[in-house]
Amino acid sequence: MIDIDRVAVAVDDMVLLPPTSASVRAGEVLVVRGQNGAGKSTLLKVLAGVRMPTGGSVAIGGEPVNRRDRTFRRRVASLLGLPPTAPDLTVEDHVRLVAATWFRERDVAEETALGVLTELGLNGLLRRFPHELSSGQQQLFALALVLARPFDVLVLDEPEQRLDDERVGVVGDVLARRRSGGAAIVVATHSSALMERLADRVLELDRAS
Amino acid sequence: MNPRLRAATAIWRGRQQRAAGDRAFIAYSLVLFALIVGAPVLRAAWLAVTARTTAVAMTEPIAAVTAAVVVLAVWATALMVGRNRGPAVAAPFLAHVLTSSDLPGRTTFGRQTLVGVATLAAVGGGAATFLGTALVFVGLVPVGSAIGFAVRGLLIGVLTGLCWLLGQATPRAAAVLAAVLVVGAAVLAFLGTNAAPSAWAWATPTVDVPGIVVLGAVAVVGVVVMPWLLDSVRGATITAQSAQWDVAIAHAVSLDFAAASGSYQAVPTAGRRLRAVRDGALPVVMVLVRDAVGAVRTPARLVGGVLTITAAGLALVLAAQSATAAPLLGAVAAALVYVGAGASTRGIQHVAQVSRDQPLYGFSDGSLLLLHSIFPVAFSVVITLASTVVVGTVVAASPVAAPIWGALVLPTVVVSARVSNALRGPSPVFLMTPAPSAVGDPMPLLRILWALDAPLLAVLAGSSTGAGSLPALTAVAVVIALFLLVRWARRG
Repeated sequence: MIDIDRVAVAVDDMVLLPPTSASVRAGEVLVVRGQNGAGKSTLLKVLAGVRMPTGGSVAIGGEPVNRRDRTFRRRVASLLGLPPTAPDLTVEDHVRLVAATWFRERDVAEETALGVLTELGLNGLLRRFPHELSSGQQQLFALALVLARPFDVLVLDEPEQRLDDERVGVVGDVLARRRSGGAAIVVATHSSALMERLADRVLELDRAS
Repeated sequence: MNPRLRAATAIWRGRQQRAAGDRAFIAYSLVLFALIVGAPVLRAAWLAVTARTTAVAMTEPIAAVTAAVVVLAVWATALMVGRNRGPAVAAPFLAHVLTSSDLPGRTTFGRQTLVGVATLAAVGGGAATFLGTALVFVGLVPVGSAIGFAVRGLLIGVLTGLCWLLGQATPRAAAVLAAVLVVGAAVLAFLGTNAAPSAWAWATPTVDVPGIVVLGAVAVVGVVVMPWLLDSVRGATITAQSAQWDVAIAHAVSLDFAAASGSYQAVPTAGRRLRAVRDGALPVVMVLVRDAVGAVRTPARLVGGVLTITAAGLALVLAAQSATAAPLLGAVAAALVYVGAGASTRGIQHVAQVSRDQPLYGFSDGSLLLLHSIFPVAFSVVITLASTVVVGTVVAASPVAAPIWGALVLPTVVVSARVSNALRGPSPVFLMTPAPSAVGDPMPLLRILWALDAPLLAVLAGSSTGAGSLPALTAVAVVIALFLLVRWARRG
């Protein structure tokens, strides 16, 4: 599903991502590890089409990465930071709206939205506005927005951020279910618990070459 | 001044002390600005108001009614502004130090509040003096009348300052009082020239001693209770407002006016149980309902938007009645629509952010932008049109055909300018590059024009509409459309 072939990113003489190769099949999780500044986020940005590589290539589903391409948009969901939220919509509104724009069938949209909210334990926060959420709740809310849409590939940058151990476990369970559903997942994390729970392959960027 | 307050402010000012050269340069810049920008604008305004037709229109009964409505609206606005940014604010840390001391509010913030009130009094008195002198110059009112009007203008300014403080000291009561004033303005506008007590805010054939006495009495009472109002402003309110103002100024200095106004955007307070998303609905209906429910969730902002756009309709009707002042009134109408439409454009702002980020929704960015434009356009057009028709037929009893097309087209153009503004993104690099020339570096001016192009183009569109110039309006609309398309293509 994902083929990363000696992809690299450099700005002038500064290497942000050394040449890196990896592949991820459908139903597989690639955990990306590395110290701060090793290039984890840069790699994920390349996969999500936010950043152009200066060397090598990436193909997703056999196609090059193109953020504006409709097929790519449908195929790849990513969480590289908190997404922009609408201050005038509640948590439930946000998730329902995302699902309603992706799924034509009303029942499927509703089922998906409510399912994601339940999975992530957000049912008690449905009527809150984004500014009324704690930082950990915002992280779960951001994950809900990404998971409320269809995807074949899921790219996540440190989904454990701001979460307590129990919530990290919840996120691990949710992602494991998506993997069982056939999604190819690339996740950068510093959480050993998340890595042990999910990793089919591990890419250590500190040692990438 | 209290010795402890003097010591604290001296320390604060000491760390920000400007060199004599800096102070001289600021003074030089201000003088140049006054000469290059202020003087021509003042002269143009003087020529406009001393034109015979304009001056005669200014002595029509409808002018007095309009002035009274405007003054009531200004007081209501001052009350609402005070709720978010009152006269008693300071640099965040200084505000924290002062509010956590045992000094009362009248001591810590009395002086700057007095300066604020005095400034507003000077503005009110100055504007009334300017207009009154113009009417005397044309020979339409006696000197005594102009003096009386100037005094009333000054007192109106004082009361505006007191409303500002009242908004900060008693936010809830201020909201109620603002609502009462708005209703009063609406009643006055509806009664029109039949309302006898409508002349107090405008130049009258006489000095209008009763008007001065009433305004003066209210102002004296207000000034007497001012210390108690200052004492009752909560420390938490002052520190919060100070921090918010500091952030807004920081954004404004970096020419990010959208972020500056965004820092004062109301957070939703109501309607969290309303269902904003209709699963399975047509995309048009889905987004329209979402935007409408979103707007309802900030009710004060929504009401403010409706009233502001309603006032734009009034300005369009007045523009149709006065050929000389038509471009100015059209510009005012556009500015009011630009501000009022803000209550309905949260969806557009959200799409502008989403379009620069990872794909979130299943619709394309272009479709989303178009869908989210429907509600603000409909909101602005319907209110402007309704206001124009009602004011034109019931109040002004004028033929409404002339402003109708303006009420249809202007809000659409203005909302397009708002969309362009939302898509602005970071400043182009070439604007940040100095370009020295024989007449100086034009880049700072270009940067300001770039940052303010949307409201400026909206005002130009309004001026063209007021003047009834379809070619000019079309030209402005084309420029707005080009800006919008370029920004859309260059989004992140």
